[in-house]
Amino acid sequence: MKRFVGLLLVLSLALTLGGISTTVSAADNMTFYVIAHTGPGDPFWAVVQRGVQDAGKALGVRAIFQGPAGYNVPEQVNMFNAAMAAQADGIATSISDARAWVEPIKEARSRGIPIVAINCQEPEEHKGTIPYMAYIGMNEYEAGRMVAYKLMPKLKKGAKAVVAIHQAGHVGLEARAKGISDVLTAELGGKVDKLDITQDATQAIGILRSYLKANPDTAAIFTVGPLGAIPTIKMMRDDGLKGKILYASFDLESNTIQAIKDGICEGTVDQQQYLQGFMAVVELYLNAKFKLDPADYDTGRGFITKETADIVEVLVKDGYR
Amino acid sequence: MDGKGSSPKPSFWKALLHHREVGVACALIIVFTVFFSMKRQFLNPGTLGDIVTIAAELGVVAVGASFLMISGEMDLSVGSNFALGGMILAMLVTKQNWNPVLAFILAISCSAGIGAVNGIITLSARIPSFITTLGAMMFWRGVALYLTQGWPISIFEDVPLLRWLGGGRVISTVHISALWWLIIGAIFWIILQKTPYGNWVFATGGKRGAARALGVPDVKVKLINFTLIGLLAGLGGCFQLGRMGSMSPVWGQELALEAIAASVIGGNSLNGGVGSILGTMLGAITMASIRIGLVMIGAPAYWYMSFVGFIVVAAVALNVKLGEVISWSK
Repeated sequence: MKRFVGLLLVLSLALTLGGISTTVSAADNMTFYVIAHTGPGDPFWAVVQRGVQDAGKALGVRAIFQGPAGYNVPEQVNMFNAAMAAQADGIATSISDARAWVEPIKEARSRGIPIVAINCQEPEEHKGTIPYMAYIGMNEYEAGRMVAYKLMPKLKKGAKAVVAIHQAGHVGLEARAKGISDVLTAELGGKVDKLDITQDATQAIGILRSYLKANPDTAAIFTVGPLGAIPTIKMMRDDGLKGKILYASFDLESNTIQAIKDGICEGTVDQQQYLQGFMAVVELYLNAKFKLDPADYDTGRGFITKETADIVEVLVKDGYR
Repeated sequence: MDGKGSSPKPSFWKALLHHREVGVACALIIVFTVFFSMKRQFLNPGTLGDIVTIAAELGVVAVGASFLMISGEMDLSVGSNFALGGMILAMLVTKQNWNPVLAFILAISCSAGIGAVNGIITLSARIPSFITTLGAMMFWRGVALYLTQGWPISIFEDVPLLRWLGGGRVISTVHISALWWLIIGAIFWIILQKTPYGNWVFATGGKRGAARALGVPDVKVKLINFTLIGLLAGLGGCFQLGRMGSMSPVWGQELALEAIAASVIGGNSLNGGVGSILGTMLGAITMASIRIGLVMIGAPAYWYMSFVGFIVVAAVALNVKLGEVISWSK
């Protein structure tokens, strides 16, 4: 019995100590948490984790990235509460649900713990209900405007464009589409259609083809993420649309990068999530140390083109993009 | 091990060893000692409040799982039922403008109904509950996803019922759901230990032939327990909706296995016939402690699974050893 309990104790200790071997020696003895709705098993979040860890090393503080194995908001809230209980000097979290985060963040702020939001925010109609101090992430609408401005020099006055959405009703994707549409209608006076292409690649190709048949004067196609980009790129390759229709997208993914290198895609918006991890720790650190107020930081200013695709591809492999 | 029989206070040790909760109590003490030695704040009232709040949502389902397991069956569909229960309440309140109390009653009735259907299919078609509820798990998850097209449902208005279900706090960080859980646990403990029905549950899961011969209505007992776990799964979902204000059709996916793990850590046998509600509740607290503790010490969250996996096996091994010691010392 004793031997058994002893074994249990030793193994438990070994597991725990192994788990925290990544701990950085903390010069300022400060601890910051970055809590995401998905853990580093997702390649996107592995990059955020890299940013968090690098910032911790650079500043000489303990910076911890945590997230549930799969997309799980209640689990994320539980982790956030645990970080509060550990008396963190600051916590960053993604606002993965507009309602579930109201109380936890109010509670943290009432205890004097600085909070910044990363990656995603509550939708427009609920803005201001969650008292985080700043948002570090891509402004979806501004990113949409940016990609439209990037393509505008290549478009004629009154040019017709289509924005293909693979998940209609998704707040972030709709905001991207609105940004594109607002710029092109205001600046070129052209018609911008929004097309629901669904998440099914076969259906998406069918829908886009029939749209282009009905609207042969379409000058530009925009997709708002990899699930829309993959079928669109396939269609453009199959139908030989390279050079005939301008095309741009959002997010980094191997198909999109290859299409950029092949000249099919003009470019893609990169939300640079490494910054979301790195800057969250920096802003929380500066607040804890010098009482500097965290400020909003738009990380989505990266636009990958043919010129930068090669270097970005290497950085994707290295886990920085 | 074999020294126990001749220890200085044999009566005390023997009495202790007869409790199935000894294994989980050891595990809990070790978990607390390890985390407290690494992070002093682990034993703060706030942390303990977080732990029981998390344990409540898992634990209310685990209590049902134990009851069913003692009677010799299992339910893998509790996670889907949990999400569906919370979603039905949220949808009726936000989209249909129902009275929240009526919506709550309908939501947990639907969950109980799903449990009953699992029972009826399992018992009438005579297929293993593992298969029936595996199918039910997938089927109801699909229904939940279809109902909201994958989107979470949030209640932004101030609904007093939500505060009563899980949003409100009793003291410090302890949410009211923890209180409900303790009450439910106490009720089920009394039913199992102090009533004839409790004896039937043990008999049904133990030697079924002997139970039948003694006139135990084993089919009825199983059906009631399937219904109860459905009810408790829906209630757990409503607790989580109360605390979060939102319910997503994808939440509660690991719940079935976690509830079974909490039961098993707590000394319940997968073969039925033996078990303890108190042990299950301690099992849920152990799992919640690991969740919170790992975040507090800054270990990667993935260790949670490894830890729980390790403790499941260790606690069961300890219980088997204890069983041997008990039978040997008799």
